[in-house]
Amino acid sequence: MSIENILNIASTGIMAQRVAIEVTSENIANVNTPGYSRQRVVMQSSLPISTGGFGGGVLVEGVQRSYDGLLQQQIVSGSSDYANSLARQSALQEVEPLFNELTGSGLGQAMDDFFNSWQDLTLNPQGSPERQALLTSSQLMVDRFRQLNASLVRIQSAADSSLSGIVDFINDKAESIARLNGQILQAEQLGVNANELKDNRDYLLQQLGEKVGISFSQQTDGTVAVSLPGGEPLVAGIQYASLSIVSVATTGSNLPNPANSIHVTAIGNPPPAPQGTDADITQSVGGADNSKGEMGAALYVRDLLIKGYLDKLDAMAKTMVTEVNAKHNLGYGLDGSSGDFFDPAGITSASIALSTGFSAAKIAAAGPLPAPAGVDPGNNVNALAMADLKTKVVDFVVGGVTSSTQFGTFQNIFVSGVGSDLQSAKNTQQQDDGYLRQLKLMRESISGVSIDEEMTNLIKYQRGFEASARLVSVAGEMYDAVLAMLR
Amino acid sequence: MRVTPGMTADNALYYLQQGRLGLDQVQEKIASGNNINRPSDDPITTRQLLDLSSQIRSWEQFGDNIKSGNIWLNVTNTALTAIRAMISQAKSIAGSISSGSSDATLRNSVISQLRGLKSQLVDLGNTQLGDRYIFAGFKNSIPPFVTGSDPDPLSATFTPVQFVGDNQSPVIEVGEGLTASIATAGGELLSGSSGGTDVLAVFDRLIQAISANDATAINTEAKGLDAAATQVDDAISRVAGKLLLLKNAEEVNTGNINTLKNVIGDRQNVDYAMAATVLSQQQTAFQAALSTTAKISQLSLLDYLK
Repeated sequence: MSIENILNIASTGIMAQRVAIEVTSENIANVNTPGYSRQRVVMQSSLPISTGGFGGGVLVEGVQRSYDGLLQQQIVSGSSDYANSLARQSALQEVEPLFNELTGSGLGQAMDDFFNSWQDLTLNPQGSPERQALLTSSQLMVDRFRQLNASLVRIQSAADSSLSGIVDFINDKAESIARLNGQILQAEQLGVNANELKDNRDYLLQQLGEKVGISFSQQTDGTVAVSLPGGEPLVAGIQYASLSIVSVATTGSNLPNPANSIHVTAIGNPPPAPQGTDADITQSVGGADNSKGEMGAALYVRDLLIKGYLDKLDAMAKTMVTEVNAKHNLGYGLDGSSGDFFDPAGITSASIALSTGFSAAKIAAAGPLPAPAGVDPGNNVNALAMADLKTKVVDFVVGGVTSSTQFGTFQNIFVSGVGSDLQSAKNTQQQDDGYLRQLKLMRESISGVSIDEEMTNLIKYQRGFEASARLVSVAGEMYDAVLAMLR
Repeated sequence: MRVTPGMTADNALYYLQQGRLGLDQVQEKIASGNNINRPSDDPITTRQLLDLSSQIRSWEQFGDNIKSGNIWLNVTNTALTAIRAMISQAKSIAGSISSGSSDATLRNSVISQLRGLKSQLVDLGNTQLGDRYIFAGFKNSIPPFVTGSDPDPLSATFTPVQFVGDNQSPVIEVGEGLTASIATAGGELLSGSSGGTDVLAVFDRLIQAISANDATAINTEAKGLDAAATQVDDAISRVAGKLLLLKNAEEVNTGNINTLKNVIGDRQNVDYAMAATVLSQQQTAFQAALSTTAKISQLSLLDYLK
């Protein structure tokens, strides 16, 4: 027990309040930093230094982050879902205008116009304007098929080429996380506060989760291990793997040719250079049903969504070409010739075309074969049969499944299908958004900085600091008093 | 639950965004006048609307077909009425000389009138609509009735008028699954194809009978003219029947189009009163959100600390 003890206690107080103000200032400075977790000083009363003393002042036990590890896991997973549904929605929003026949004219109307041109031809089978109009409406329909195909292929290619950007992003983040793992490991071994490093790492994990559906776990040494949806390790301690893109040739499958496939190397620091024996993870990296992250969304758009639409469009083009040609071959033109209307080789939406060398005179409005000697330009038998194709129930084969309906109905179901795909993508996106928002609010509630709270703390610690400083001056005065006694 | 200014700011942003979205959607409806502006607004109704629009396009095409058929039938009707008048005239001329006449001048005058009538019949048989011969069947790009090299029935080398068309009729579609054959077969009408009366040949024989002053033959051919008149009357009433069919089809057609357009309107047209009410509700809510956001964002302990 001595005046010195008072000074000692006062100095621990000054020190502790100073640390607390430091932490408060760190919190205030980072009030708007994404991913920052507010920190708080854990103070503890210290044991007496000398026997019989009252106490040893205050001890700063540590600086803790307000943090919920489970919540972090959910946020990463929620970010994955949200980024996935957002990317799907934006792809579909690009597709929808192509099929918006409510406000503009589309393939459905082009097909109606095509069949109506045949109706017009039944009224005047030899009429040059009617024949020319039919050629024009046929060409317009062919153009519609081709435009839709080209636009869909463009969206599909965009999804395919976005994969390389996503892969670069993942590689960059994986390396950063491994490096942070190393720094955290070192800091913890030295007993240094690694809170900011951990916050950074959590934020990187969340960003990584937006691209790919990772799972991760905290290790006892403070590092975090990250793995890809298929279970392949991405980061372990200071080691990390590298993803690479390999072009694979695809033919006749309505996929981009070549298409990008995703491969992953073994882990290392640095990881081995990509090579041919790397595991192909294209099927698994998007998560179940390609439902995780932008990676999953890009693969879904490329391999299922757009491919499905292209398959339907092709089925329609094929049925149109075969049905029209079959009927057209039953009749004959003004020049007595009989043949195909559409090029029989062009049975996809990309290759559909009028028959080579086709002209207005070759339009087979007359029928049935054989053509009589002499002219009968008023014969409209075949034109009527062609016009009736509009309401004929025909077969459309999509992915091996045959559906039988009319051209218009098939197209309208197709359009409404695009609409309902987008509608459900919007709904999913809203749900995912709501869920993620809730998680982020919970995180903010636990980890977010409140200025009011920090200001209150600041005053509290400032007063504490002032009081401790006052103690020093009191101790000084006590020394003075003791010394004065000796004079 | 601990609430931080960051949460308040996030929430405010989110709800302002939602409010804007709502306002935007109502505004779009009002501006476009459409309930459904894109398939994803309502995929099921979209499909119905597209089906209905497609049906309307079909019915409008049928309407065009009916108009075109009407023109054809009306031109046919006019020609047939004229043909019928020619035959009546021929009948009364033949009646005036039914018991023959010794007056060669009178006979020649009658023959000349009959020749004129016959030539008009041939002209009427070659009636054109645009560049199409309406009585020629499918072979309608060339005149169906061709006068021979020697058209004089009194000549030894007489060649009668040839019918070179066919008796087929173009069929047009005037409703869903409803077709109408619009042409009248010229060969059956005037040249006795498929067992009818060969009207032109009756004229030829009548001229020959009058020239020969053969009262019995004149009477026989006058009866032939009666049969010819009946034949043309039949054709006229068939055309009238077809015109009636087209009229009925047109009524059905117009009715269908109106009904379908009403159905589309019911689903697609915006109820402006309702939309305006929703707009004003959302406006109020949005203004409230803006006002509370402005107030809450300004609250800070800092304002009270010195």
